[in-house]
Amino acid sequence: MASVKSEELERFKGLDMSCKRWQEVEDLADVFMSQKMWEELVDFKEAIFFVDIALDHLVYYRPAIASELGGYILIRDDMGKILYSYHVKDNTISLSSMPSLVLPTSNVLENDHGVAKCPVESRQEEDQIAIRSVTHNEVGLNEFNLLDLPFDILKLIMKHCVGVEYMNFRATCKGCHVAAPLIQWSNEASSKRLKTYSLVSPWLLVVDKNQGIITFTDPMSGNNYFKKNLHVSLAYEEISCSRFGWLLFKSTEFYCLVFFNPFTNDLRKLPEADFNLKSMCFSAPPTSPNCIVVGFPVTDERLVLIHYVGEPSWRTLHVDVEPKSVRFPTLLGQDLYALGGEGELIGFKDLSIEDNSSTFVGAKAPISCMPPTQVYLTKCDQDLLKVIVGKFGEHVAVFKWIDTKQEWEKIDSLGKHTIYICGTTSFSIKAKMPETENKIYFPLLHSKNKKMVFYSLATCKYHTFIDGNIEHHLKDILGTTYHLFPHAWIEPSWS
Amino acid sequence: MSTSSSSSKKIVLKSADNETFEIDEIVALESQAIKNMIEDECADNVIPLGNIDSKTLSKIIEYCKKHAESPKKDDNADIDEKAVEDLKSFDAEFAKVDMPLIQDILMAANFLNIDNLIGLMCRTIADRIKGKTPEEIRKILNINKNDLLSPEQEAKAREENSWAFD
Repeated sequence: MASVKSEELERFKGLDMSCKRWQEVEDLADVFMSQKMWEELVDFKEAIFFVDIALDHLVYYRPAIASELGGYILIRDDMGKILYSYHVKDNTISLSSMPSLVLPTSNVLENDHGVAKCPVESRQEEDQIAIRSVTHNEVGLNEFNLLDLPFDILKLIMKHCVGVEYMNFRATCKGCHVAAPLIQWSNEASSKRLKTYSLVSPWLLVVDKNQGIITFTDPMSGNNYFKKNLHVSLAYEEISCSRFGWLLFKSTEFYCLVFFNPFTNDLRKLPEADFNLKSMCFSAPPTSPNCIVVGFPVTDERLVLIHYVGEPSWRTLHVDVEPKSVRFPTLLGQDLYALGGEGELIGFKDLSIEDNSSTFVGAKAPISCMPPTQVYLTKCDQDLLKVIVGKFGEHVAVFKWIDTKQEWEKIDSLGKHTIYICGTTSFSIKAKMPETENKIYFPLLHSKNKKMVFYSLATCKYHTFIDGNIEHHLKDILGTTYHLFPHAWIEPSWS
Repeated sequence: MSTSSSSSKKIVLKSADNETFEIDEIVALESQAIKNMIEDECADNVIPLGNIDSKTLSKIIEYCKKHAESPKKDDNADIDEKAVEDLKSFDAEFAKVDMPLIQDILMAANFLNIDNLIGLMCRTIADRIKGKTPEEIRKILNINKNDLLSPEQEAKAREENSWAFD
């Protein structure tokens, strides 16, 4: 969103643009001037802006509106069914359906400004009731008072709690609060305690450029953790891949590809590659001697670049595939797989053999019969899985690659695994708690309770966790919010 | 190795619900408190444990028996790794009980001063609350409602927590 000051517009008062394009304007200073006049708005405050694509022309602005609705640009889609609410400051988009009863007409919108808020408000009330019913869980009658335990014992329990568990335990009662001092986990002594610590679930990392911080959201509790003190700025970086607690991206600060662990601030530079790379992945943490990094050039070269961590350079392999369309490269041992532009599986057998000739292009996914979809590829244990998601999440299908048959087979369950999906990077891990099994996490927040949304293969619906209970049943992703800031799932690691 | 050296001497423990347990002295010595009593010669034949019920006490005796039988770490530096593993898996199995019993065992172990058992129970509680929210932890541990933080304290704790990794 950008704004321009009205006094500056005076300059263009006499400008006649009829039958002219900007390129034909004689005074080029005007062109440059016009570009400079725009100032990016990072906070829309109480203002609201409505764009109705369905009605082609309608644009409506109001500088101040009821506070909970201010700060949004509302866009109604071309079919008039979906409302995209862009929150300028948070840089998020919330999707909601336009109930047919309150469909705004241009007349109503121009005369009555309250209409657009109807769908947002009605949903909010519903959800608040739902939340209230679960947060007031009565504590049992047979109460055990932690304070009955000698203080030393309480301290001993706290000693076995690290990181998030320590903090949550500390917040449970007065006794715990007193027994446990606040710990800043980034200081040297405390971070040692985190060495072997692992969390129950990966977190969603979001690079909030406006506030200059990164935010981690725990999908289980919905808690947010913030980090400001990073040795490397992530504000303008495009995260290529995230796994094992490490981010892989091209650093604009160091002009090279780097591995970065935002929890330990550990930074590892990769040797310079001959090509700019996109669609990248790596097989193990860069601290491991088995770490292989692969990437496809952004240019037209039919190559794949491979780097064995510890080696001084990249190896180049000729492949028979258009690199631009390749997405979700996935390493399975020495074999590399990826998705082509039409969702077809591409495989490169045994990368260690030079000038690999065994590129194969597998069958397309059975997506032709479905409306617009997103396709993701991920490794699950030793299997390759393809996840197909409808535009609004109205259908989710998972397929497993059967190598012997060279075809995709639909599966109804992930077993004990959980898949974490986001735009550039997706992975699956074995669930550490039964509650998270057989689910697919998307980088989506429930628009009202701000908890992370997951899709359950058992219920075929979207839900959120509230204090360990599965709540909210969404049939699609209308009612959810997604980030426009760079984001990725990350498995926090301090080792 | 001291497994069967003084197996002849017996100690009788009496629970709060008046059940008696006859155990080898060597097993009873796992408890620092009982050991002190025996050393101070203030233990009669029967040691009454008025604050430990029989269910808890039998679990504690089960634990002490196993640990008394196992070779102690400082006895022999190159202790059989299998014995260590065996004890570990015993501990893991032993801890598979419900939370009220864990808490009873912890209180009793604290009273009887059995260091390893206190450690095991504390670790078990810590494991059980992994990945849980404060609200869930309160439910799991059945924490008294009157002991909750005030809303202001809770808000402050939340704010502190959200920056704790920075």
